[in-house]
Amino acid sequence: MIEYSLNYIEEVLTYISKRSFIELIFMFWPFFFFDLPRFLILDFVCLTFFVLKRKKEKIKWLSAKYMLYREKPLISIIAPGRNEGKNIYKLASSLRNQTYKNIEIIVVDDGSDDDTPQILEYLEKKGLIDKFFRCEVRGGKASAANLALRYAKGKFIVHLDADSHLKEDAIEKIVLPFYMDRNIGAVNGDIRVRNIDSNIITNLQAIEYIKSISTGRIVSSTLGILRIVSGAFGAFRKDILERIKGWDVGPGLDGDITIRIRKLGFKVVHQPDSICYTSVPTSITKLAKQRYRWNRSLVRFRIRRHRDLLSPFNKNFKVLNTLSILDNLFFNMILNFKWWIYLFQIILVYKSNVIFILSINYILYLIMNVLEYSIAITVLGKTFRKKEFTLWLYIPLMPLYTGFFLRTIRTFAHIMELIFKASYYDKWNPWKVSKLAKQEDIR
Amino acid sequence: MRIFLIQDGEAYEREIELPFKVENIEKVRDLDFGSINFFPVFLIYTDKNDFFENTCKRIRNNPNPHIYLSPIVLLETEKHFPKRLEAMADVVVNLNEYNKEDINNRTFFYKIDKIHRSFKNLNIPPGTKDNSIILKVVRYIYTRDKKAKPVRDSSSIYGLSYPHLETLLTKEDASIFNVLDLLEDRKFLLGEFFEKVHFCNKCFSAFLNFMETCVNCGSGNLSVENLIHHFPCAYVGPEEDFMEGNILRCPKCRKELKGLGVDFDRPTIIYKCNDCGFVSQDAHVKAICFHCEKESEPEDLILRTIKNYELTALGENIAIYGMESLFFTALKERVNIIQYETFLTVLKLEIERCKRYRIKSSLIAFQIKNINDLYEKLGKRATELLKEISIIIQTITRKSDVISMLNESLILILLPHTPKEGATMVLTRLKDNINQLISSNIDISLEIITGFKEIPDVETEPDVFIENLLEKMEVKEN
Repeated sequence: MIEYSLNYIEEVLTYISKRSFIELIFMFWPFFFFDLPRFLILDFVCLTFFVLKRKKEKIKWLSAKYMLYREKPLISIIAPGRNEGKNIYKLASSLRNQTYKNIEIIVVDDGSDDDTPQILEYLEKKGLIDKFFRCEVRGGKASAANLALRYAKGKFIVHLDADSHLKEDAIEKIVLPFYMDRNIGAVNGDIRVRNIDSNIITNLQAIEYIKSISTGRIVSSTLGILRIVSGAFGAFRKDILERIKGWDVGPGLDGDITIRIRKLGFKVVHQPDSICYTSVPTSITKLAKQRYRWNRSLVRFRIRRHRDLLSPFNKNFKVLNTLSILDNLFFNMILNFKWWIYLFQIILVYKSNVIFILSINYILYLIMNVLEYSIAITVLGKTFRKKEFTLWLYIPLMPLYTGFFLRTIRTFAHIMELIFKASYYDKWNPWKVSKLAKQEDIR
Repeated sequence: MRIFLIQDGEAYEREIELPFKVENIEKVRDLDFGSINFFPVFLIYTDKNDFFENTCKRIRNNPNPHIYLSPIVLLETEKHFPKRLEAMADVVVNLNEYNKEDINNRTFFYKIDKIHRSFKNLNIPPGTKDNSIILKVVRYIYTRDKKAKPVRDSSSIYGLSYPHLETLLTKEDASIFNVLDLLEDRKFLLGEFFEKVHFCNKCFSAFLNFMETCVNCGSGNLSVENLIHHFPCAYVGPEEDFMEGNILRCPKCRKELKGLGVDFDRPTIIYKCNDCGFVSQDAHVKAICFHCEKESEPEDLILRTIKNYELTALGENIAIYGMESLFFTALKERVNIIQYETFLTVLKLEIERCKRYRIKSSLIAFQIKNINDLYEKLGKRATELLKEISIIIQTITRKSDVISMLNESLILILLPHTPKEGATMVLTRLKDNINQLISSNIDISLEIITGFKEIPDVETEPDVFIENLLEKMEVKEN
């Protein structure tokens, strides 16, 4: 087996050595022109800048912490969800153990049909949660979040997914940016995989989250183009949420509200030190369904609802907002289609050497993944749990996971949304809401 | 049929013109029932509620069936009495409203005749005294169309009650409900659901204020927000947010709302405390009694089903032929009770035997004076208590003892070969055990009176012997 592999690598290297530099660039253009500069070089530059900036702003950080504890504002933590009763105890316990104590926990049960209401009533009586609202009929996540917002009394609102729990200093750290810059309207918390040990699928997602959220959003935030504050863990100024009257109908409501906050002129930043652990899908099917939903929202919100951001004639035009959308559209949508063109190209041009080229691509992306993960460890290693260091073992699978599996779903989702507006039929929203959104052509 | 016209002091002086022809009216200011053995009709002419109610109670409380079953006619003038009081009368005639020509003897006496005819069906030997409240209620219902219906009246503390039956009781409390429960349980009455009523657990008043209060601070100062969820934009807020004149418009997307279920729904109601600011979907409900001001949890209130009652065939039989007392029924299951007449014979023989053989026996008597209280307070549970008392009597007496009952509550026990010391011991044990049973189960204090007489005695006639014993006990048969 080893002998066979070595022989194969030798063959590949021989093949490469016979090509000119220009020929090689042409042969691997997606990697050299797009993925390498955007996801490795730019990330490296931005993360270096972030590390230096963080050191420089240490006093500002301490000052913000002092101001937070001097003011001690009430922070409302809202967790809307359906059939999430079994997860709330762990979430509420992690919230009660927070270093920042002046919090109110509001849980909204969006028409659960299991024993969630009884569990929540019990937790409310026990004092583990402060307010519990039950909607007998499911109204959708946005309406549940808006119900909680209506009766939240805090100066800041932290939105959580019910199947998450927080590191003990997460609440304190997620609101500190508000005291460092008055123009910050929303802060995205770092999201890590809770059920990392479940199986290979969750291990791969754990690496993906570290790359795309933990470090990926540091980069977007540093560039000022962060386009999403996760529903799983994000903090908002309540006055801003009241101004925009809360969340709009999903799916993709977290990305939507982020853009609406950006449109008002507020900054949106990522706070990598504030960590939330969330459960991710444990099977291929569930993962595929989740990503199918997420990727459709790109088309629905970036292209349909907020396409005005792309127009320079828009009175609220802002370069960073436009860049934020363009970055998303270009790297997630256009370059996604480019990969299929590339695949078509190598099949046509290099016919017999397709396997060689794909193998080289695999090696290139593997090296890039290793480097990306190394950078992540360098920047965020202090916050890693032991099991996050063992994820190295799964990195060889990442080019296949992101390059084939996620890309295929993404392409399918984009096509379905562009052509069939599939998100309007998503069961994620109650039928009454989706039907009306479709009827009234609500983007 | 003799007609008595009872008038209060003020009304007595007034001349009244009755709208119907009756003869032989005996006008009385107050009534001494004496030993009436005919069927009277009582006309009560007064403006005073208290006078009317008290007179009714005096009539209905009397143990003589001729009196307590007699018809009562209330003669009203300008004033209408409350419904509760009117219900105590069998016929209500408003002297101002009735035109003489409209009402003739036949229509007026129809109801009275009906009561009279029913009364005549009853097997009531001369001198009968119905001391049992159960028998009184059954006989009363029998003579009133065999039905008892509740009356709704705000002047009654119970709101919905049986005022005509309440007058049969000696006490002014909610005992009538227990008595009716007992009668239904004994299959004398058949109850048909009428209404469920919550009563205060302290004073039994039905006048309760049910309040929604804050689950946090208990304040009743709550405002209710009826939430609306607008589907297209997911806005959720109270209805007030949407009100624009006569239309509902979403404050977020400015669209006019089309219809419930079409583009909006009402997910929930929120209670907001105006005192402590607490917000909750649930309000704590508590009840405050208008009468005694006691605050109670709804689940702690007394919930009673008020029924329309009708006499069963068994009930009719009891009404006509009388009944064995419940105590007698319970006792005879445990011990051998002999007829009173037989008991007199046995006692006579024992007196003779004691004289001849110079031996000493004793006769003891004990009576639960307020046995009706048991029925009224405990309702159907009274039967169980009487069974327990029977077990005590069974345990304390010997098989050679001879037991009889003089009336519903008076028990006579002949203890052969037992001198007065033994009799005292038996009586003390009986009293102690019964008192212990009562005190550990219910909060009624039973009036038990006892007495004993040693045999032989100067008196040799058994009935006089017993009479002397009862006099000594200060027990007078009613």
